Amino acid sequence: MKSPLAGIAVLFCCGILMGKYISIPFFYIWFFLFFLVLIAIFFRDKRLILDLSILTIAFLLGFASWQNFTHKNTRHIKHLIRKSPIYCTLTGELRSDPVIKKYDKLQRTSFIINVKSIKRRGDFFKTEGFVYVILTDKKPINVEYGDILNLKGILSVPPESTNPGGFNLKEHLFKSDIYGVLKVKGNLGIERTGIVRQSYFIRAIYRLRHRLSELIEINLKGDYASILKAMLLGERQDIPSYLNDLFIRTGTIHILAISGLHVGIFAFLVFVFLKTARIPRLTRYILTAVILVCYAILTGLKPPIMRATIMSLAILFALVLRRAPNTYNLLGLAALIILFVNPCQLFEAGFQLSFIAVISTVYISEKIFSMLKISYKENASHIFNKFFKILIVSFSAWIGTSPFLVYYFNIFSFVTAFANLLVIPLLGVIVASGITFVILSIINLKLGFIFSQVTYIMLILLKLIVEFFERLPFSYIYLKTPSVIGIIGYYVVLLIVLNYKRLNLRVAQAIVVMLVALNIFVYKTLIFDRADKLKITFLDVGDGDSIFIQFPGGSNMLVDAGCGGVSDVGRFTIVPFLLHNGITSLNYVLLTHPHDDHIGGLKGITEYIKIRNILDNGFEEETPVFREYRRISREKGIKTISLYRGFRIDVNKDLGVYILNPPTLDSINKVYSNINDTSIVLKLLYKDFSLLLCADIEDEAMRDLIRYRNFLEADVIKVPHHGNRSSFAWSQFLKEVAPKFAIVSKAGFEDDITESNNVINEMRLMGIKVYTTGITGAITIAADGKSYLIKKILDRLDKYEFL
Amino acid sequence: MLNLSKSEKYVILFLSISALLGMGIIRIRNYASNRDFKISQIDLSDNKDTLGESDEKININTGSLEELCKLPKIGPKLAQRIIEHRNQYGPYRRIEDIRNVKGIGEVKYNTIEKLISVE
Repeated sequence: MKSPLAGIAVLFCCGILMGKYISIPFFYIWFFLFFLVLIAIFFRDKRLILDLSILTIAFLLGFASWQNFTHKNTRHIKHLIRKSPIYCTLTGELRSDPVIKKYDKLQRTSFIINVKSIKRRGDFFKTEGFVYVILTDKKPINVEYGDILNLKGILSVPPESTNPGGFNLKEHLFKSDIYGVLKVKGNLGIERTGIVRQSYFIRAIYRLRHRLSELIEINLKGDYASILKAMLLGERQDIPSYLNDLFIRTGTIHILAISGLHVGIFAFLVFVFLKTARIPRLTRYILTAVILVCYAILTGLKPPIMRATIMSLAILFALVLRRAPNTYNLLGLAALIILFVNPCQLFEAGFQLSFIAVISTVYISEKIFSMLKISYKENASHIFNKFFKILIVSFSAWIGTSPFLVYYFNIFSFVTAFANLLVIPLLGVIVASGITFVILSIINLKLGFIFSQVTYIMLILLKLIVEFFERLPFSYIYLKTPSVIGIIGYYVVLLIVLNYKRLNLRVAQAIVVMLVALNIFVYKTLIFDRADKLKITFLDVGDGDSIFIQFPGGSNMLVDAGCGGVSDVGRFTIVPFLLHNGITSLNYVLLTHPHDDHIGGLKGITEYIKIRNILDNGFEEETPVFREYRRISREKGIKTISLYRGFRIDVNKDLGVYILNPPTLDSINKVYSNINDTSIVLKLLYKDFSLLLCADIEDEAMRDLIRYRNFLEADVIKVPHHGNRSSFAWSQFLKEVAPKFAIVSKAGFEDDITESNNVINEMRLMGIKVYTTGITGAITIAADGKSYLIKKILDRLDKYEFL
Repeated sequence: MLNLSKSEKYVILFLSISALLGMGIIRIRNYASNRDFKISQIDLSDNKDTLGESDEKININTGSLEELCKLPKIGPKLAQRIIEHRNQYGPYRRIEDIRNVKGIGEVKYNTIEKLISVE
């Protein structure tokens, strides 16, 4: 084998994968491992047996390391955390560099602690494990790596993603071996009792990083400072989301995450500097290695940085021994070290992208060169030839990483290869000049400022280039999240085509393989992604509303858009949900009434999704939320229709939507005194299935609606006003609707709701099944006109309910 | 350049055409799903059985507490007061008289004006 470590790493990964899905008692694995080691020692002269046993050992070690990682002893904090939050005091060591995020009035500090003990209602337990702490306060809180802290707060299991396509914090933290979230409010809940003695070295490095970050902020402004901080220090939290999108859409997001390129440039700079300083050879290598390790700690030891650092160190080592390093071996070594420390990294986006990017630039471009009969090492004198070669490398990276980018960001970019061609050389200049100016700033601020201007200009240029590529027509498209099988299929086809010579295939056969794959993809979409059912998804948007309706035939409607503000539901819940399902345009957005919990998310949606029509309740009043909404619809030139009682929307011949409320246009001034009562109430009728969406109506509107009792009857009702008790008429109204299922769009835990909410309890007593988005997560109803089924995202046990 | 044989050419041609055809159908389907719906206005009250008895005006002289409660903006307390008023001062002669009841102002009167009668 040319690169044994790569093979071992691949089998190690397979072992981890198997460990994730199958559980075998540790004893058997240990026994088998022991047996294999004996075989390997006995047959050390027989190549084949030795190789096979080593590979099997690697596989089993992967398996064992996964089990070791997930299996925790009984003292571990994992066993003490329940889903419903508890108030308790944790004592532990701070084990990460605290990340501070500033909001309007509050500061949010988050960090990881290694818990030593937990105190709850006078009970005291010794424990272990990591907990993610979120601290909110008006003033910044001064904590550092290595502090021993007493933290009083609310401990719970991290939230799962409650919406399709949503961010899953539980899984995300699990990958870092973290099982709990502690929320602390104000500085009263935090008390520092000491410092861990061994932590001084890392504390010093983190202090240096804060100092560097300050220096960057002094010399550069706004976006440019945040870009440079991401590039040099790995601090990505200040990058505004629009900038992030810009880089994702052009396929250049990798330059904002420190990876091989950055570490490589840094290592090269250090090496050249030490060489000009005439430091003896061996010392030079050792010094470079030490500085690289410090830099990796400084930038936060994320998997791409670890990978790059390990590979650089291995290259340095190879240079010391005067041996030529093999890329695949280096990759295998890096993967093995990272995964041995934490096997969960295999499922982390950063790890996957980092490795796949290197593998594809090396492997695919090599194959393409041999296909085009260009020797990689041949010294191309012609400038065009050189350019062509770099383009092929960039192109290889693009085709290699695209499936992962689509999977994680739902974006497929067409300009990646070209954008990177310009962006990567620029990255080199920015990193080099950035490091120079930051170091000079430490010595003298004014000197640093002069040098920072070079970086500044380069950063402006970078932003311009990325913006240019993003604005090109068809620069990117949104794609539905692909299935894992689809991704594997893509790589299999890619491998077949790249190795067609080795497989003794003719060119034509390679083309046929590609075309067959394309056909499978096209006809799969044509047959299986057809919308032939009515699908209604009640998204979990806290105490707000957002309901997505997919009509049979493919058209769609979004009823309400949830809250805006800091935790913008539009941007962070609705948009990911829509993109996850491959929806990039909404035929209709119906806004029941202009309250923030119903229209606040609209702005975020319009930034990503094309909205063709808006339907509203004709409300005209000067409130800030309303003005914002009007401004958006005007700017985007969206056609707006105001609806009131008596409107009928004909979706197709079987499906109609009736508007029951408000009674007239401008009903806030004529009929009702409460904006909630002017909400659009709509009745959806699809053959035998009917649904009543009540928005936020209260007493007056309900009284009025009771008169239209034959329009009220429905199989499923969206309970008005998030289940708040507000109406005398409610009982009578409910009797007229006579639903079988009721859906409440409301945040909160099971216990709170059953204890305090009369509306929900009343319905339960009447034999109506009540689902609350806060408890079950997003709720999807699929109806074909005869029967329907309800699916709740969090209820794994009873996932489907046939009716 | 590629040295394709005749049958290979046919296969490739066939597969290309079928893929293009499929993509075309997807495109047309997406296009069709993007057309706007027909939005029309119907009179909900035209439909006899949907409206029920609410077509009739509520007589404020004979109406029971329950009936009066069906009026928009009238709750049980106010309905009770309307009944007390007619018990105390005799039946309402004109619908405007209901404004004498404490709690029924300009806005509430305008709302219920068309829904009530005295005979």
